Amino acid sequence: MENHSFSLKNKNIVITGASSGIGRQCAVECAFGGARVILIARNRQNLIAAMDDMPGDRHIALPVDLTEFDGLAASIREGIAGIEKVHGLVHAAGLQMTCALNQMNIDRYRSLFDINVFAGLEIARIVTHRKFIPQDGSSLVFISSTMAAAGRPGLTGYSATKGALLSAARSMAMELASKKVRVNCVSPGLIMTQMMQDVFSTLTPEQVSQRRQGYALGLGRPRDIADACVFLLSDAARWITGANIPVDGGYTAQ
Amino acid sequence: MPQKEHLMIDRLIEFFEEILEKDPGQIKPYDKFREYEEWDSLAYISLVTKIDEQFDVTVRQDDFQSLATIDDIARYIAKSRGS
Ligand SMILES: NC(=O)c1ccc[n+]([C@@H]2O[C@H](COP(=O)([O-])OP(=O)(O)OC[C@H]3O[C@@H](n4cnc5c(N)ncnc54)[C@H](OP(=O)(O)O)[C@@H]3O)[C@@H](O)[C@H]2O)c1
Repeated sequence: MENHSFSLKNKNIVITGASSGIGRQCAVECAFGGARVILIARNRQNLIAAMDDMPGDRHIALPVDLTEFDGLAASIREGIAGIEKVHGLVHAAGLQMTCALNQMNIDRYRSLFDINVFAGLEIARIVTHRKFIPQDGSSLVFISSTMAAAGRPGLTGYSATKGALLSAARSMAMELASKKVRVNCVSPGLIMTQMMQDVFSTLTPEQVSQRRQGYALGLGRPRDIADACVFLLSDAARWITGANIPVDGGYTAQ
Repeated sequence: MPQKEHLMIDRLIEFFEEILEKDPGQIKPYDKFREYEEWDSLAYISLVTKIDEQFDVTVRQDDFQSLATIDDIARYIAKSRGS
């Protein structure tokens, strides 16, 4: 029987940030979709724990600090040496930081840009090397944020990184179209993950209730984002590139 | 008041001056800092981040509600560090 176009059967999918939150859920849903997943993050134990929730036994855990740029390409290539082709990438590794503009400094901007933007662009470069692209092409998905389109005090640095991903994805989509590589973004609204719990622990109760407002459909779950990623990774999205899909319960529709 | 606490108050005053962009001398140890026009939730985040970084003390949200002056914050930090 022919594969359903939403299926990820026989696809190798690289997922960064797979040890936690949205990235971890993407890994689980891709595995349920039939993919073999290469899970990347720093924490080896959490990667292995994520694999325990995934059907299939051919997945690979790759504990790597994606901001150690010297040698990054070598460790990724070594990690995926047993895999001939990369059919998809989800860059979900990221860092959130709420910080007033007058407290920001170059180190803080750098730490945000290193993981949210540069790591994503680097890994995209590595997995779109001609030798890794399957004949039918591949699909790259960058996790941006509603904060690329909407503003909030304290998020100047973070929003800049998420906006950078949207812009980069469009040009990358144009550049790689001839190789049949599609490039898209998913922009989540508020999802209760470890990152958000950490953020909320620094906020005042008034800020917390403020942050919960504006979601016509209530707050999201990691699964909501993972499902959108699975769609973009699948052949069902074969004619979608350079796009951004807001998955935010209506937040940016207002 | 012990010498150490004086130094801590001086440091906290510097933090407040920097975060609220006040000129030296405008912040006093017994001012009720929530009454400064510039005080807001982002200033709160900046302050607890600085206290964490510089004094290695994590300020609990509900503890902070009970602190009214810079002097109170200094005492809280000193107590949390066990000094
Ligand atoms: N949660 C939300 O509400 C929300 C909303 C909009 C956008 N987003 C975006 O969605 C993405 C995932 O967020 P999340 O909420 O799932 O966060 P999370 O639970 O904190 O997960 C972040 C992931 O990034 C990995 N990571 C961080 N630094 C890394 C590094 N240097 N090298 C390799 N991996 C690294 C972490 O793994 P290790 O610690 O094991 O390295 C972890 O797996 C982020 O880009 C975030 O900006 C989230």
